[in-house]
Amino acid sequence: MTGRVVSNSDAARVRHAPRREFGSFRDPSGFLVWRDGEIFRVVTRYYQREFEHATASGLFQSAIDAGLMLPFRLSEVSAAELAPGSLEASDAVAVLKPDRVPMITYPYEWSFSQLKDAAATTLRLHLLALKHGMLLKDASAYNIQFVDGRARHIDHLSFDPVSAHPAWPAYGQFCRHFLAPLLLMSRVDLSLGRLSVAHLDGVPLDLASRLLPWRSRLSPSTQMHIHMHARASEKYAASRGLTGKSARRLSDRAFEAFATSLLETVERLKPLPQKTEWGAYYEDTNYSDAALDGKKALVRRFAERVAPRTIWDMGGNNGAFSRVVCDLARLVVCMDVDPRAVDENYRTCRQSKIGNILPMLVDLTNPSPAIGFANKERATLADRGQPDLVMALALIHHLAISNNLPLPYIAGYFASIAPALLIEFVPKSDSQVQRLLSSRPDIFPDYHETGFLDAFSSAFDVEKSQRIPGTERTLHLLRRRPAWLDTGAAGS
Amino acid sequence: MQFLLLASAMLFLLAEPSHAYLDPGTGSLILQMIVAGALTAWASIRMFWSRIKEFFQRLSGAKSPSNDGQ
Repeated sequence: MTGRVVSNSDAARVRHAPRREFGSFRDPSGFLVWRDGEIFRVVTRYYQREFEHATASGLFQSAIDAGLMLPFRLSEVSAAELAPGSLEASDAVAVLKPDRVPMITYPYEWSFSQLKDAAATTLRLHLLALKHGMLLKDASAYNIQFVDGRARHIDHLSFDPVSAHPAWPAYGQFCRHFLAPLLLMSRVDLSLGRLSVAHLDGVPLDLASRLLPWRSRLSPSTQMHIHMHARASEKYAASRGLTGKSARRLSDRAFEAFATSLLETVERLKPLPQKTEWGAYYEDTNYSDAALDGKKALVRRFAERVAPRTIWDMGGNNGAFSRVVCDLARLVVCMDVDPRAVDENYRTCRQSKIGNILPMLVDLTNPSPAIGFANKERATLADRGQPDLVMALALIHHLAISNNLPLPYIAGYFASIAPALLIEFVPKSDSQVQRLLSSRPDIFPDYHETGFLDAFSSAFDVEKSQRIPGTERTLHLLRRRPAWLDTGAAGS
Repeated sequence: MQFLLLASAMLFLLAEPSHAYLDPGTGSLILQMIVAGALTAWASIRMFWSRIKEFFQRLSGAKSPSNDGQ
């Protein structure tokens, strides 16, 4: 079962009829329903025994206490209220109210360390379940979300009694969703986590086996979990289930040894020490220490005026400015295209125990699309949240000059996301822009402060502007014009 | 040791080309059956070894490694 939940943003908290969550169609054990911006999980009678076992054995409580699983409580709301007239509502045995997931992210938007932590959470939860006579029956990476800075499992109906299975049924899925992309990011290229966009059920093992370098076969764990696994999947694809010797059931110790071997393999993995475009950005800027401090103070002062609950820091690199404003908001989603910068951000936040910054790997010139069946299983980036403030610091020249994006298009995109925009304008005379222009013809006659403000004026009003001390750059706080939503949005 | 056990398990998997159409999950299950013995044996050896180490550490009065840095 894939437990997709759409972000329960405050803007969605309007009263409307309950709506079944599209992504939860794969499992008869239960389903998800939205009502008034809140999500409920209905458990059906097909999962009653397993649910009672997981409750009575203490598995749910231990998993929640260990921080491996999203907390939930039993809800007073009845299934009939949530799914009026549906056949499934008559099968309901319980309604769960899970804690809020402030922003949904997908595995292809995670850095190496995020995927690694998600994999470890999955395996630790499986090992914990084994101690309670159960197992994790699926190991979909989409069942993990980052809440309060930690990878947590969000599907409460993922456990089965261990006695019902001859071996770990989620082994193949775990290797496709976690181990294969992690190994590819560790041995081949950090950007290969994006393969998961093309392969909704994880990276096929035969593909991973062909992409990994030959010497990976010398590692016993990679040989077993990827190369031999790929060969076994091919060889036995046409066989009709388990027969003869292979129909034995694994011993409880073997179940545990398998999961432990996978966990040790995952924990040993390190990201490829690869040079990336933006990985060492702050070591290579034209900001002096004093100018950087001045910019931080200014950004904070401008952000305070908005009093945001949610901030999207777009092009936020390693999160240096997200950390300047994170105590002003409930959540700061820090997006960047560079896998090394996102990874550094995640590791810094984890070490500093900052729980409300969510690092995310996003290419703003090609943000995550809607994918899956009917393009409805995984939502676009813009459909997953409605921030109160977008920060676009030292970003505009990359969009306008490196990517040839017309300024009005950029204005329209930001206006479609948030009512307030904190944006830094970097003029042509700036040495960083000069660097960009040194390798391409200057076909940007309108790229100057006045042209920028003109282009943004159809969507935004300027609330405040100030030169960043010691630089040629200007910081602007813009507010979306109310009329833009009626007129400009349609044309942008 | 683990490598040798794996190498022997690999012999089972020298695959002839197959009809890649049906359930790839069967291969995942069968692979677990094939290597389960090796992995369990490996886990037992390691546990046995760590107990021996702990025993001698206790004899020599040294701190057990799991308590280091606590």
